Amino acid sequence: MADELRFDPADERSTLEFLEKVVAMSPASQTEAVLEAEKSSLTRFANSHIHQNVSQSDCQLLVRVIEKGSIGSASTNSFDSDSLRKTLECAMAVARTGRIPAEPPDLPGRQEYVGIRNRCRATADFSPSDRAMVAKQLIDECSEKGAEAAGAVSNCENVLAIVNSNGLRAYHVLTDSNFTATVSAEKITGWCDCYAVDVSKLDAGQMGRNALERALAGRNPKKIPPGRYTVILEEPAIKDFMDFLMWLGFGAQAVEEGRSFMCDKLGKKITGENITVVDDAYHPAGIGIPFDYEGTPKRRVSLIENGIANGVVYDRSHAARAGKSSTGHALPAGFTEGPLPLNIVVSPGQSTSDEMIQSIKRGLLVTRFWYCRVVDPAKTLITGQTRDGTFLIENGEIVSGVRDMRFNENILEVLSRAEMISQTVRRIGSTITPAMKIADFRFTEHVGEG
Amino acid sequence: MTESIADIALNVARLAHAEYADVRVIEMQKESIVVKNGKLESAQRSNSTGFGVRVLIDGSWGFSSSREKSSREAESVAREAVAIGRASRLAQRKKVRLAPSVVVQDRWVTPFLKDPFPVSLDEKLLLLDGAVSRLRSVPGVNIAEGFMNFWKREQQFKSTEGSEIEQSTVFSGAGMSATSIKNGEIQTRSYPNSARGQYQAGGYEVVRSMGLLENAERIASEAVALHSARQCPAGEMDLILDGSQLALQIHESCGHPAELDRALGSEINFAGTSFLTPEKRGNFRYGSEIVNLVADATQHSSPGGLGTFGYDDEGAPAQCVALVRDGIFVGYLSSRETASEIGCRSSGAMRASSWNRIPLVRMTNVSLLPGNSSLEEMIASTDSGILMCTNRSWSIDDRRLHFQFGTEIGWLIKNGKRAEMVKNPTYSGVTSRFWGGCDAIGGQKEWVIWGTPNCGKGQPEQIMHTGHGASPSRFRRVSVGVAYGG
Repeated sequence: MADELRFDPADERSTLEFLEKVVAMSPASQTEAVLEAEKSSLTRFANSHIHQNVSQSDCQLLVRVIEKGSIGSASTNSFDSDSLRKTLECAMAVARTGRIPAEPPDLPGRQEYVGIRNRCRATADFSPSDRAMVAKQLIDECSEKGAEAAGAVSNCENVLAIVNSNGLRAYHVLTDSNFTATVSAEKITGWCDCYAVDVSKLDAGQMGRNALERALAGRNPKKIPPGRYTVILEEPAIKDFMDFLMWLGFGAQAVEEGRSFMCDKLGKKITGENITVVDDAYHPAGIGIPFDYEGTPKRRVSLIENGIANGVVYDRSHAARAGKSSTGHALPAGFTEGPLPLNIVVSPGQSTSDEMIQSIKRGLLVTRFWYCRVVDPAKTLITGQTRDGTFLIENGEIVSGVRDMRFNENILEVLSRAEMISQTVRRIGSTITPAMKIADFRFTEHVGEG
Repeated sequence: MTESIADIALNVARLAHAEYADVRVIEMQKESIVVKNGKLESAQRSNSTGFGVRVLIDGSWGFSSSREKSSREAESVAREAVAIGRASRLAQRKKVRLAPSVVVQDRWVTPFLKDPFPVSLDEKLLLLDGAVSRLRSVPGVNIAEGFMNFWKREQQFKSTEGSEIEQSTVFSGAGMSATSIKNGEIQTRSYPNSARGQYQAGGYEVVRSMGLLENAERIASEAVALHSARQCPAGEMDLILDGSQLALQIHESCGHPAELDRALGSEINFAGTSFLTPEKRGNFRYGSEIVNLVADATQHSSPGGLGTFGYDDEGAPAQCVALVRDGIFVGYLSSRETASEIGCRSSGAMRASSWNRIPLVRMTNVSLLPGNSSLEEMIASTDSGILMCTNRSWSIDDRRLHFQFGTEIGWLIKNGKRAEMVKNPTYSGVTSRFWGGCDAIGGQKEWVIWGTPNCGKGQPEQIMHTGHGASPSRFRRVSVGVAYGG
């Protein structure tokens, strides 16, 4: 495009200058320009060879305008002046309907942000050959043991930048890398998933070996009857529960509409006393951004403290209606589920993994869940199945693999039956969580042919 | 400009001695409107454009993409795709082989009567406001929502084999839901389907023909009435599913396991594998003799399907392929690469969600062919059973064998009559046993091609639009109510 407005999203100055030009082009009385840029690559392997290897970069510009007290928004990834004008005009057309009131009436002004350092050049520059070598290491180790490896190695650099007509300027760039693998031995699988801002700290080797060991240890799985078991839910399983609590009730919109499990429960006990959950973009092991999509600085928000429902997260409009202030959890304009906590941190406990296993007379170790879905939102009842590493524990020792089973459980009740919590935490995606020992976890059916 | 981008990229691949390369240059538009409790929540248009270059070099794939459609970027992106393909050789067990495909020069356009994008926002809001207003007129409704979504995609495909294909697809749809909250219980009814409605290939006429206004008060009343209904009982029962719920059952328990890349193990780390392994093709009893399932991407027999197109994203023509014939598993959804692994030709199921994603084996329109019964006849010939309608919850294992679904509403059937309403219905089962118990399928009159605009697969994840033709059907001796039991 001849008149494309050029900038480098990885460069703060040129990106903010681009957004300032967009804001200056707007005919609206108030305008906000949000840029999300992503450069990401992913190498995928299965059956012990690389079968997909991809790279992509994209920038999406989202403009939000306020005209006569009403909001309109539109987005594009074409940055020639004609496309930008059309996008602004689309947003203006919606604002002119007068149907989306601006609450509060004005965009925020200049803000101060706490710096978060989660960018690493080595991660952004991690090459296709580097990724292939990570995959090859696990493939070779599995091959020596007669096992098959599958998985993905990925790296990305993401930018979020905001400029508005009231003087707000925000820019953050972060990197992340991920290694996930499934190892198969005699049709039994082990799995791992790890993340690192700095790819040199991505512990792919050890995590891959753990997956291999679990696949080998799980061979000849026993079929045990469905029912209630004491379980150790490892970090990925707890992460799934936190994701559903986030959607079902940790946001102000769910409370406003009366569908959150937090409604009428603030200040009351909803889980065991050993459960504390916060949203904390600043956690040193996390992957936070210091502001939200409205440019509001992120606050650390206590959601559940020692089992007591303590708070939910707000954006500016929900806060205005509730007589509160925004906690910095707005999502992009056009997202209609309201503010959500995207950096959940569950507090660790005091137990080691060995102590949790040793404390169980008869129970199960669950590596992860799969295909969890809400059955009943009011009850926080969800279903899902175990996958890729489920083991029988007897008299304090792991004795064999077991066939996978489906569960149906109420998340809040599960968190009321947490008997032990691990002293270490792991980051899974953007969630940081320990593992937990849960009593009387309800498995309802076998998974598989019967 | 776009033509030269494709040519430049393909030339780079040829000069690098790639065995094969293709380029897709895409422009996508989307409009999304949400009205809730009389307030416009969002009315947003978005555009996304760019191109993707896929290169097969020395038997390995490389893919790169960019939003910037310039000659310089085309060259750079193609070079990166070549470099990525070469890096893939570091862990190459065997060279990729592509099943032969026809070379095509063609243009294909979704037939539609009225382009939804020029339709004014006022006209769209008039319909949604009317529907939401009728939902809210029923006492006890707390949340009343209306949705509309429209997608348009212009795509140019070009390959080193000489194919040049232009396609323009348009998808439209809408829906509404009423939620009632009482005594700590949440009940929702949706129309025409949950997950924001019904979506089809076509223009604004799809939305106009839905009957949103005519059905609003009925579903709102049902949402409120569910609070007083008895809990769905637990046990083994004869189960009748409405078409929209059966569409999702087909999607999860036939569509995904019939994806050949899953069956060959490519998706094991994420979406999972399939119980429909290649040695079962042609001899495995998937369902009863009246069960016939097809993957049909053709305009001729699947008009309006979200998986209806002229050519897939590697240039294979749209086809109608039998997956299950007379109850026997007989075929797969496949690509040129996966088809060559089992000595077949591609079934034309390679689809990418965007310019920056590679094509994967995806569902087209996976449909249950109509039978000769009807909902009325099925109810009349059921002594004791349950009718379940409109999906609320879905979960299936990573081999697509064991599933559990929940629906928004159910009715017990007693002595051939629809009896009392039940709330929170769920059912579960094992795929082949469940389909083996299918003893009645509704006819063509009740057959609808339902749209699933939110099917996730792949890493990085791609959200795809798929279609599923279905009519109400009956299944004998199904486990019901397990989710709430105990």
